[in-house]
Amino acid sequence: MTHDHEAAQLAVASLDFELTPAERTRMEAGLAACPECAAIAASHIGLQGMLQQLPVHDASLIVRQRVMRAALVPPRRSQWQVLLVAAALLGLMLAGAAAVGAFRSQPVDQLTDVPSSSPPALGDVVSPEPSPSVDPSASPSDGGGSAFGAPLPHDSIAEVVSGRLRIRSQPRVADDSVKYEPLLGVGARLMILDGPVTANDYDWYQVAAWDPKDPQATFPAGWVARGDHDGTPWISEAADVCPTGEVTIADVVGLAPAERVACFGHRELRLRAFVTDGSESYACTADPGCTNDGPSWLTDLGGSTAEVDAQSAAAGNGPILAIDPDGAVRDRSMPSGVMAILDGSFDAPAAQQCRALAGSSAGPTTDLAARLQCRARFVVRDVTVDPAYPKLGAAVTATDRLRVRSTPGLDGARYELLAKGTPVWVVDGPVVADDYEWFQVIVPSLEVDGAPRVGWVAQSDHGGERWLSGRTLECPAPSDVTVADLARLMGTGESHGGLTCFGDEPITFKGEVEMSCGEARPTWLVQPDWLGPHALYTVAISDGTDVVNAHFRPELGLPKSCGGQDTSIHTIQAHFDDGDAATCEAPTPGGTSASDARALVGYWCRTALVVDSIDPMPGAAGS
Amino acid sequence: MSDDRQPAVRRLAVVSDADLRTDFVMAAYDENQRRLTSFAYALTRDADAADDLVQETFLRLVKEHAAGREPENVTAWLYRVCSNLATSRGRRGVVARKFLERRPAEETEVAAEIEILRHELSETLLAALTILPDDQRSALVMAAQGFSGREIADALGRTETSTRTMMFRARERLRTFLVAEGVAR
Repeated sequence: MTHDHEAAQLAVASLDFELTPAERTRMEAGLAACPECAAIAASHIGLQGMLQQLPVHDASLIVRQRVMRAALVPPRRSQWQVLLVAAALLGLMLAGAAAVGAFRSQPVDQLTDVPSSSPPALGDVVSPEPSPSVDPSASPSDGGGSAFGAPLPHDSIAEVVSGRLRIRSQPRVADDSVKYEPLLGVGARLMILDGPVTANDYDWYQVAAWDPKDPQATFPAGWVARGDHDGTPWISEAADVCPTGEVTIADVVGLAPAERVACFGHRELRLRAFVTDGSESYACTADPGCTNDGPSWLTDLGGSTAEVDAQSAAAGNGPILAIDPDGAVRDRSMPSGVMAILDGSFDAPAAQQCRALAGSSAGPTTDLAARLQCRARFVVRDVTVDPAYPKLGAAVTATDRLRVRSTPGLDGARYELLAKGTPVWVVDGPVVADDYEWFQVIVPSLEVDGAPRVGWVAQSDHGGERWLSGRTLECPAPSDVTVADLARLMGTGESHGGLTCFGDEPITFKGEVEMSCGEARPTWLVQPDWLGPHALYTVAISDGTDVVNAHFRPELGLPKSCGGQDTSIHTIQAHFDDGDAATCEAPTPGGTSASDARALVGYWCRTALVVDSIDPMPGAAGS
Repeated sequence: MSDDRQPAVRRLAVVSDADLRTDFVMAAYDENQRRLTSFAYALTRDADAADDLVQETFLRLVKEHAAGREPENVTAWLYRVCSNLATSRGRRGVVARKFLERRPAEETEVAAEIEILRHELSETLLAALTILPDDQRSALVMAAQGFSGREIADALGRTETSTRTMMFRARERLRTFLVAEGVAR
């Protein structure tokens, strides 16, 4: 539509807004004079009619119940208000009882409607477990209605508000209801799996429990009572568990597995996450700790997890990934050790097929608890990895002027500003800080105190514009390398060129050989000393113009001397990324962080050219 | 436990603020839930997601009230919160994409089962709405529900002038798309 159609624009505006008299006049005149405007306006009116036919939906009844419940529960009262209420409670109920302490020590059946003819087994409940006590910080109005108000919804998260709560194998106090250990302390969390079941005048819920304060502690799945007969809750709904706003991997990692199910259900999530290298997955049933029987893609152990970044991956708190067999991802195409966009969800419908594995040595569990473990897997339907994303151990260049910092994040001390096109080597990362993804890099062209610069750079701006991009090197065939090639690839600006081109593959080249001596007292004492950057003896290999230095193992039997050039041409077999590089280490000189030192030493050892053999060329003239 | 077993003093513990809040919130709920759920459904095309959005919106209203902040225009406030929640949760893109991916298969099934024409039209419209930016889509759905331009501007936190411009662009973009699809003329 063009500006000429002002009448149509005004007609459309009049659907939603009051026009001024002048606008109305212009509209009417314009529509009369411009048949096309009238047609456009009519089309819009027709569209508005269609939009008015959009479907009408009511919210589920459960939404109303939840809103009402939330409205009913008053905000937490201040301590003095609670004490006033407690005092009123005591005064009215326990006229004669002198103090709160007396209240606490009363057998529970004196405070409730439990008839005195209650079965002797009741004593088993009232003390010591569950062991109710009047906790002044617990709001009595957590109850209300039928003692505690609405039932706790299934798949919701509850919290233990009164310590030493017992989990039982059955929803009752009886000989066949096994009392499990350990007891749950205040703050322990529960996923409500089933219930309530009323027995022995208690409301019982089947739960899966964990303790946020002690993530290593494990609890058997079973049944707990909601509270005392007098309405004092032992568990109540946990508030503010779920993150609000856009869900990030940090939100997900911060939640316990059951909370992920409770918060997100089967909702589609798109997470930008670091996918761990993971271990090869293996059948759950092959593991003594296995508790689940169900679809293997939901129960198999090992595999990858989704984490915030490479640093946090060490804690392993992220959700275990499962690959949807009907999705776009295949086992082999699942990335590892990189940031990826994962599309998927928790609470896969197939998790309903999971059952508790009979005879598991991992302790008692229930079908619902076993199912919860399956439901807590993040099922990946699609995964996107940017092929240009920096990879560890890769040669990249800065695509713009790029600041190097001492640590990941904007708080890191500012080092040099790299010029566009500066080659760097990626050592570690990504680490997420200040909303950027940072990589630890080595900048061979920048020398600081006799060593290349080590620091952290952000890989892109917030708009996704890359600050690092992969570098393509001109790599000769491993069997057809020249000294000139190696000199070019191992030059000071990019000493990792040989490693980038050949990895640990053997290479063959020809040259004159001369023994060479390094510094007698180097700053860095790298072990093994023959592989370090300041090895006392190395071999200088020359083609008459260019020279490269190569390291050699002592067992190769080369003479350890300085000088001694052999001007005859030799065939040399060598490699980069020697196996011993993985164990290279060095005492850290003052002022260097352990992280920087690790990065540097690894870089030196991996980029060293290591000689496997030196053989005279047949027919070559000796020196 | 039934009420008659409840200690009488427990009733004293119920602060009257709770009753006031419940009255206020539930009145707002009953007045707005249907159109807000329809609105949320139009944004997400997913009944569960719409339920979630509506619930979260009203839970926020509870918090607002409990904190002594009663919105001046409750309906506009609810729409603004619901719209923001939908945007910030990024559900729209995901759900819309999901729909577009599965749409051909659905159409085949639908043809076989003789769906009502109106239902098809609604589905097509909802899918078409996904081409619009969040604010534009919210505005058009609100307009379809009978809100005036001024009320829409209020809910979206914009001026009337910018809302008017935005809505014209939204309507024209949607119309052009639907004409190209052969749905509108």
